[in-house]
Amino acid sequence: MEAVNKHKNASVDVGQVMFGQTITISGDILRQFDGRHAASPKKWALNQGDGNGTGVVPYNYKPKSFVNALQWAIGLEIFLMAEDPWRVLFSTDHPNGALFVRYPEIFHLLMDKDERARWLDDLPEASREVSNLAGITRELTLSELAVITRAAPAKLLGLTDRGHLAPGAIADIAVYAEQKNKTAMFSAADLVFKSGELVVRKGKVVRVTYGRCYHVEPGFDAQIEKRVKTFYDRYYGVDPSWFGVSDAVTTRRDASRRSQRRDDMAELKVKGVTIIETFAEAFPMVGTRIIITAPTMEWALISARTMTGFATSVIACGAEAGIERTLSRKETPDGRPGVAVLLFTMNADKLQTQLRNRVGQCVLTSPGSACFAGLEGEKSLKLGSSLRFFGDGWQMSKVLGGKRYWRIPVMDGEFVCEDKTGLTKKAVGGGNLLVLGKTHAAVLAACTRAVKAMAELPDVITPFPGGIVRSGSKVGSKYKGQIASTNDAYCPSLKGAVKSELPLNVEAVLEIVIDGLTAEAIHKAMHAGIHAIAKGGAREGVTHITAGNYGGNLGPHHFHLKEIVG
Amino acid sequence: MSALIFELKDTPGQRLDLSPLVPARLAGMSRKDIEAVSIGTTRETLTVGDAFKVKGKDAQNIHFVGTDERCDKIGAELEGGAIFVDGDAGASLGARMKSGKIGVTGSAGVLAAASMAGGEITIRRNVGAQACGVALGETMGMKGGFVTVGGDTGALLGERMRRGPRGRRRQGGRLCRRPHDCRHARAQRGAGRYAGYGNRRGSLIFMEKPKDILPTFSDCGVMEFDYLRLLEKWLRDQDIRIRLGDRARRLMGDMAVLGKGEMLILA
Amino acid sequence: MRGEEAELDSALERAADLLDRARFPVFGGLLTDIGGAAAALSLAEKLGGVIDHAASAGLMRASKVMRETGGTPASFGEIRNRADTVVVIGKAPLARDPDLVEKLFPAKPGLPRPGDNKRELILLGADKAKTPKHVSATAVDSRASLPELVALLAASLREGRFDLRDTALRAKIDAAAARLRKSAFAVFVYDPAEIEEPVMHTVLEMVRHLVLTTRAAILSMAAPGNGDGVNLCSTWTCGLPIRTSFAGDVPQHDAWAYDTDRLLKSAEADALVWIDALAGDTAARPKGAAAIVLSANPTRAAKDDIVIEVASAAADHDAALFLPPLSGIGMVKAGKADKGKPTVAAVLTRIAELIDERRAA
Repeated sequence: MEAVNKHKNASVDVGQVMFGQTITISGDILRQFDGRHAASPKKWALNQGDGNGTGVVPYNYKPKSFVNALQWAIGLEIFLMAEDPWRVLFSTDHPNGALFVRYPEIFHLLMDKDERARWLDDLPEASREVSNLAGITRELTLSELAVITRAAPAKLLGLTDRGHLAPGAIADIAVYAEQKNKTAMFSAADLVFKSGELVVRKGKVVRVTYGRCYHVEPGFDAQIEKRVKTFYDRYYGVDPSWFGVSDAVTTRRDASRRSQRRDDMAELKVKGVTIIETFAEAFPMVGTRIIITAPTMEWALISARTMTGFATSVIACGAEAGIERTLSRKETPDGRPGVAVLLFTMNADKLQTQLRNRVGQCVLTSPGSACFAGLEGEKSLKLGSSLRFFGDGWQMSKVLGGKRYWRIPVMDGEFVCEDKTGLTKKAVGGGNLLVLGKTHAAVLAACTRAVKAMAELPDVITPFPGGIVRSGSKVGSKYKGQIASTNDAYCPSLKGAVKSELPLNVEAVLEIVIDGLTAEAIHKAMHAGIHAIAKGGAREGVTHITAGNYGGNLGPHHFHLKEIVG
Repeated sequence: MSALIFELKDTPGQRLDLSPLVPARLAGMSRKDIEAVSIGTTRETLTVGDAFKVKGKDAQNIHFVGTDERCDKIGAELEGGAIFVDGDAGASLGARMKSGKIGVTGSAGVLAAASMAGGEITIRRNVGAQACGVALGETMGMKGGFVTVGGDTGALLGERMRRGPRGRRRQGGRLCRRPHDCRHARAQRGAGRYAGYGNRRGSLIFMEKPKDILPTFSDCGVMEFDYLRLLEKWLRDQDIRIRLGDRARRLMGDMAVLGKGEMLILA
Repeated sequence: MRGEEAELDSALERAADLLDRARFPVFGGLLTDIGGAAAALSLAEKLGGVIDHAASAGLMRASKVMRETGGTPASFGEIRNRADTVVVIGKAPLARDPDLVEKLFPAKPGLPRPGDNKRELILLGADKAKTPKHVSATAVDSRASLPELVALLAASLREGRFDLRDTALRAKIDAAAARLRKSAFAVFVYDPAEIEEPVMHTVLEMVRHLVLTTRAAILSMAAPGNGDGVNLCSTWTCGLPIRTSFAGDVPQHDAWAYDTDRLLKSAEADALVWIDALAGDTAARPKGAAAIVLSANPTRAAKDDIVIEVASAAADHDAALFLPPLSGIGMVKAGKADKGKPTVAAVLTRIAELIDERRAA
């Protein structure tokens, strides 16, 4: 506005936006076409006329919308920051910016800073921050309002006989009694004279008059008629200006992405259950093992389950964890019943964070627990060396056989915790089996059996609930920001809707995901799993065993079912 | 307090607009005021007193007695209270209603429960076309509440419906569009032709297989749906006992449009 | 009057009497020009009556869909010149206008149009027997019903999955859908009198799907008897389409309640003003109530209570009408100006004056 104020030949025309429901009507059909996404209510009419068009799109300006609030504030700022009212025109763009019945409220805002403050309170913080409006104290006078709405537009158009009240001037006249509430004041004129007749008294229409219809008849070269006729005859009254389709509307935004592909099915059967000739594609992970002990096996398990809770997938849980197996008194460092726990993440830093948080919140807190290293790794992770600070200086360290243990005072005695544990970078995550069957019950029973069989084996865990996952995912989604989404090719309820991998008689699919400290461990676990699943035979209702992969390009570990079965 | 009763005197010579006779608008009015309310739809003026014998007091509990199919807009925009109709109801019964209860012993005309947002309507006999559809001036159909129809439904049941389970006990008309749940507790035949036509989302649940299924509903096979258990239990909590079981054939569609809807045909 | 010849003035007096006494008159037929429609609207407003049109069933569907979801129409001339794929849905469009194909596919090339596809006509649920030779046309037809064909085409268009045993139909549908997908400007032509609202919504969904990547529109066939003109006139006069009642404080539109046939059958309307005065069109007047018939062909209604012979719009006098080729209202010059017969507008205006005189007296 500084520039406008400085340059006396500049004028501004404001189409003030007002909050609330309105409708936008424009001959700029492509703008309206783009604007249809913002339609509220959700409907629109786009009329493709002869070489031109019209778009009608309802719109609701909302105070809570940052952009709408800004649109609203900018218009008011211009009015209030313009030093010369003769160069700023109030020509609210009805109905696109606001319905003309809202003008009294706009006048109120321009004439009353307290009213503006009340409206500003409803705006989002962000819009208030970027607007100067709150700092403006100017209030337009009635005279200034008359200038911006009447006199200035007439003057700018060079119309000397209107826009003012003077002998000989042409005007319809509205008379208002001064009121503090300008909205009320401008909503109901005390008197309105139209073409010299009184038509409104005290806000009520007392007489209906009709306006005049003007038309012009300019002369033209009669020759053109023939040409126009020829044109119309041939082309049906089409204007030659040409409508194309802009790039903006031909860009498809929600192109489907399917990165997960499966090899063709080939027949290999175990007890009538078809083993699909494909492979599980798995990824390198970093892993560790710790040992938790407690006064009883019950409490060791409670602590271990708590610590490995909410650790099904690195996607949202930060880690994948599970109980590897229980340990007899003989197998634990402190001779108490114990549990071995495996924890996996994608890198060492995350593993460190997860280990500290999980042991700190779930093992440290658990009655009678202790915590020991379970792995001699090439590298080590802090265990007690970070948890010791809980001791607030009262902790003690003991070194036994080269290993450091911390003794941290807690309410039920001491929490004993080894200083470090080992880390392996050879761990593998994402070994898997997909089990297809005719009933949910059959698939669930077979998978439960398989998880049990795998639990007997060392160095592996099945991190999902009970070892089983029912919501297998594919990479990506139609929604922005959703990195994984439902594996639609394996959803029985979508068989008819997508390129499904499932025969029509398959009612349920469950997946077992296996993480291991080594690839070999996963291979062995999958072998045990397949045989446990197929144990009931096809008669039980399981029809196929297959595996998930991403076409083989993402993960370096490929566990081919054919090799595993053999 | 005794229910406020409106007993129709004679077959009216014109359609009646009974939308003013709802608890919110009658509360605190004297009988004389009520009798003076205009309900005519032609230039011949007609008041409540002209058409009805008015008895009782409780405006929260309104009874219409001996009404016929010309009695339009009963319970329209109802917001609380109860309306009981001993007779037939005309067009737009309970249209745009937000809460409260309406019961009808006879049949209702077109646009029953149109653009209904909440509350409960029970119609013992039939409903006309566009039940649970789009009320005049609205863009969408029923979006909440519960409607039970004892008899048949007309064409375009649940047109442009958004939400709100609806119980239906017998056969439907043509082109049932965009309903959420159509249940046939005592289905005599399947639904009308083209059930689910143009459904973008939402579920249609059938007690038995409809006679004609649109080719653009795609078979996904039979399987267990925990949703059915959940729904049956929820219905029982609403005092509606319908055995749904837990197995159904699922067809997804309408593939002609978004295709995220489904038909569940109980197995 | 009652089949007997009478002077115009006495017939008008009788008509004014009848209408002034009527409790709920309905103005039906309305096969007239914009001038006649405006006069009928004005008189209906004065009498607290209803305004309707003989072909309003389709108009009501079209305006309901427009209210609920909007629309994407293209003008006739734009389609003729620029559309490269035209899908005619059902049999009604070609029955409404037997020359439709020739008008949309003129033999001479039109204005520059998007893309370099050959122009193609797809007839969905209709045969191509009468298609001119220069038009490249395919018919997608089978025993499947029209709503099913529309649904199948829409599903194939968006490459949704569906099973169809009829492999021949499947191939035709898929080919039509593929053609639509690669079209530069696809247009669906339908008659709202033939397809129900959900089918129209599905057609609009096809347009909305296509406009994500290309240009598309619909052409809704105009109603016969200047129905669209009368409907537009009602809309600009009172803000509402036809099937509107002026009995209350404000006009009220109700497509079900204010249907002429229903109002007469149920005896809710007690007087009928039937207007049938448009060149090239006529509509049978429904029975039911005392009638005032304004007809350009009065022998057809000889037994009615009051029959007034009027001029035929666009034949006896110049007329403003909705003209489908313009997709708007235009002026049609009369072939033979017969100044002897009064226009509908003149008759209705005179009746209104007579009613005013009675009320003043």
